[in-house]
Amino acid sequence: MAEKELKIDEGDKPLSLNGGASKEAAVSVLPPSATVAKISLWKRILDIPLSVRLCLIIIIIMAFAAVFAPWVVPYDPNVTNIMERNAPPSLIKGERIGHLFGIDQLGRDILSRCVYGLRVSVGISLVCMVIGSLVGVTLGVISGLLGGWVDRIVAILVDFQLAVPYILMVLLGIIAFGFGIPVLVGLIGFIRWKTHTRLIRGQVLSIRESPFVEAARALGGSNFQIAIRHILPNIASMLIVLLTMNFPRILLLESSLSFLGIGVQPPTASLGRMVGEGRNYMASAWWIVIPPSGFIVLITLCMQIIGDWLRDVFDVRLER
Amino acid sequence: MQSALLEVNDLKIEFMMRTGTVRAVQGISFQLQRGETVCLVGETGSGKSVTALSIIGLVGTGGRSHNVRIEGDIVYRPNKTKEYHMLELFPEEMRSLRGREISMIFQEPMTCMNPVFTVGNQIAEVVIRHEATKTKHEALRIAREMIQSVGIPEAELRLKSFPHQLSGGMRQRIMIAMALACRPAILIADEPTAALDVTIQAQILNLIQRLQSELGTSVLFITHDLGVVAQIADRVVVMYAGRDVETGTVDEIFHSPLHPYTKSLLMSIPRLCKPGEKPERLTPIGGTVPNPADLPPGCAFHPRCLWATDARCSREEPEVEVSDTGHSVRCWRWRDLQEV
Amino acid sequence: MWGEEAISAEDWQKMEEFYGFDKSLPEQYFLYLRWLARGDFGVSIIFRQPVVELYTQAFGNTLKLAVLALPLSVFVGIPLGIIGVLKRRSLAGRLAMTFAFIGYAVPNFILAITFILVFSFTLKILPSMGDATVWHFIIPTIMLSTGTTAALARYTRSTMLDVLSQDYVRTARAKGLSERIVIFKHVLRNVLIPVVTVIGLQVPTLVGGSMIVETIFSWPGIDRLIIGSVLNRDYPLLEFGVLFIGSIVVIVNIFADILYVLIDPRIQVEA
Repeated sequence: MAEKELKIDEGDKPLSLNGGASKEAAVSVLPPSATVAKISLWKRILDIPLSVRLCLIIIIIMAFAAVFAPWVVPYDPNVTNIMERNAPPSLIKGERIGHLFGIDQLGRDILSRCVYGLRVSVGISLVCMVIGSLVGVTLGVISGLLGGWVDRIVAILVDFQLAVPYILMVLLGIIAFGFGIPVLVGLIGFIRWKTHTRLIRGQVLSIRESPFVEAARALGGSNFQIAIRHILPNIASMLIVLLTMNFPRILLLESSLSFLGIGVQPPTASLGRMVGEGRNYMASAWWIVIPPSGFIVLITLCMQIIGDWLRDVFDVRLER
Repeated sequence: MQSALLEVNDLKIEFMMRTGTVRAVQGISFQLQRGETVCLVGETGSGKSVTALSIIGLVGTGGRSHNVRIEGDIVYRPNKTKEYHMLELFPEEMRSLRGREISMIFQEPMTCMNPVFTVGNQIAEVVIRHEATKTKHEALRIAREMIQSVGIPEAELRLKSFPHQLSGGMRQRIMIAMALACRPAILIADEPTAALDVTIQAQILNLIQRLQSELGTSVLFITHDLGVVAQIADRVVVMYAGRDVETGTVDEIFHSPLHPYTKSLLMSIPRLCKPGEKPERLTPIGGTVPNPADLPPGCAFHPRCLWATDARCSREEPEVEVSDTGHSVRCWRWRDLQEV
Repeated sequence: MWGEEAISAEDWQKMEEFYGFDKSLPEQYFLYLRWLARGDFGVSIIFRQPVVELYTQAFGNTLKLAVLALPLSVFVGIPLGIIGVLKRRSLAGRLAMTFAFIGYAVPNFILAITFILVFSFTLKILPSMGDATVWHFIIPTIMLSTGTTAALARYTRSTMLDVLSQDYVRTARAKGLSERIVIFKHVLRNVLIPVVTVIGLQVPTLVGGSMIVETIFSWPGIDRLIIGSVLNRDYPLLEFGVLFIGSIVVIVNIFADILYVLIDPRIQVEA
């Protein structure tokens, strides 16, 4: 059972827009000593394909905009101007730069709202990611290392989470704890830990059996010491890939929830929320939904591509 | 000289990897006569498996992979009138030879069979594929006979078994049954006993020898185990770092080896001392097998050779020289070393 | 909340009694269990109708979509994955995986909105709301199936890559079997077994996770009902919804397990 579910949850093997890494069976014919001098990790990192470079640039630009939002945006995102509501995009406005993405249904500049929304969405997602990862990794390491009943309990928790569609869980959480950003963060973080846990646990299990861990134990190392000094460095590469892959999913989760109206509450701008609100005006003022959607797609796409590429880079080190 | 059933001429196999070209095999030549057993001996990394795979056309995924370059000539002569140049065949032609005239069995019997089909199905499959005149019923009958002939009891029952229900030794027997179902002229065996325990190994070897004499199959046996060689080989090809360093009959190789590598190999075999004899230390071969991507200049063995001289050994690769008995060797100094 | 009608203190109290809100939390829980045992699932606060009625009606609608979306996903997703592997070096393969990638990476609601913008507003050929005619089914079904299609395509692809590198595929080739037989008989069988169980596990997502699709297209299904119940604090409605979906998930999982045992000869149930 465990094996089957691990496969589903993991997502899958390397997939990039370039058709995926193909392991030539030829390599398996050659003996271990024949596979050439290990290509240094640095060289592989520097050997970045064009698509990935593009994504990295985009992400950096967006990160910059998000961090320096107050100084970057042309207009205040919360100032409403009923007179101009639903105005189409304009390049110039008198002496200032115009509303490049138009104005929304309450008269606010969309571009500015997008940038702030970016900030909010990305911020939330990052925090969730950190929480989720911390919890996930800790639980994964603990259950992998200690085994026994700790493992069973964690496994049951994970199974339980796996069974219920995530939106349902979020709904329940919201009912119980009310709306608001902290609740949101807690919930999303809570949902995403399970992916981390299973994979980390699997990795920990295999590391646990390696000779150097045995040696450490023979020398009297405690579980804690082993965890920190031996296991963590070895799962580092997997962790990095996990984090990059999870970020877009968390962002999507938050966007979907905000879209439905149960995520971030007004007047805070969130990309998903903007799309949700703009839905009613799609026929007449389509510029309300397109920019935030575009931002969401752009970020998630870029992060996915980067994540896939990272997974390829680390592939040789990762045991299958 | 009678023309050989299988002739490998100056075979070269290169893999183009991201990080450079790896020359797994650098020009090996040997022959397989009708009815004989030739052993390809060598350590891991010597290129013996790749050589075998190239004969049957399975190097890389699905046969031809664009990362592999194979040069040379492999000739298969099933009878006096037909001659196949294996490296030039189209995939369909190659496929029609596989299983029907040339078969191969591999090292890991545990994973070699499809877990979702019955054993009988998988044996019958070969028959159906190659002998269009047989119906499914007849194919299954042949499968049952093959199961019997490889020494597995209750053949009728076994037809419906799944691979996971059989032990390793039994699975390897089934593999042999599959390989020989169409009575091929050549059986290539790539270390079929390496993954089995010694007692089973002996049984499998006996089985192969028995079937060989019954069916007249010629066997190309790949191994690293000199004990196996001593038991079943008629002739031996010793490989090192992608080269055939010595070729001869099993007697010649064991009793009068010419190449330093062969000599060192034989010296490193532990042996029981006779009563009264003082036990000697083992003499292993110092150093390790070179990385095919990074071979030493000159003779590939010279860094580990006990008798290498700087003059030629480290500069030029030796050519093949043949002694009058047909015993061939690739070494500059073989004549000087004959008494060693 | 909708307009709050002014209600007298008496009515308020009656309502509280009726729903049990005046009792303590643990008591409410047991009360609920008792009601369940009797088959009484309560009455919706907003709709003033028995919850079960509302759900059975809505479930029918959700099912309509799910029943269409699932085969669509299967017959598009799996071939996409297969093409993605077999033709991985050619344009067809890369296109296939790009499709899968998009279905996976781009959020549901954005795809839906794009579709609506293109097909409903610009081209004006497909309706975007409600479920009146056959045409109304088209976009929602496609939208509902994208997630599953992408997941299946990716999963099929990775499983297939796994299987292709197995020893028994090499054995099959060594027997001289034609490439078609190798792929369609040996490889596919081993790929479909895990894939089929994944299909089973996607069912709960189709049924219980179609919140977004139902909301966008105003589809009167159970997920829209549930979202509404959250937004409106309609607890009885919500409770039943959770119960319902939870049960479906459990049942489907059990079926998926049974299915797996049946089709994989390696698995044997302990007697």
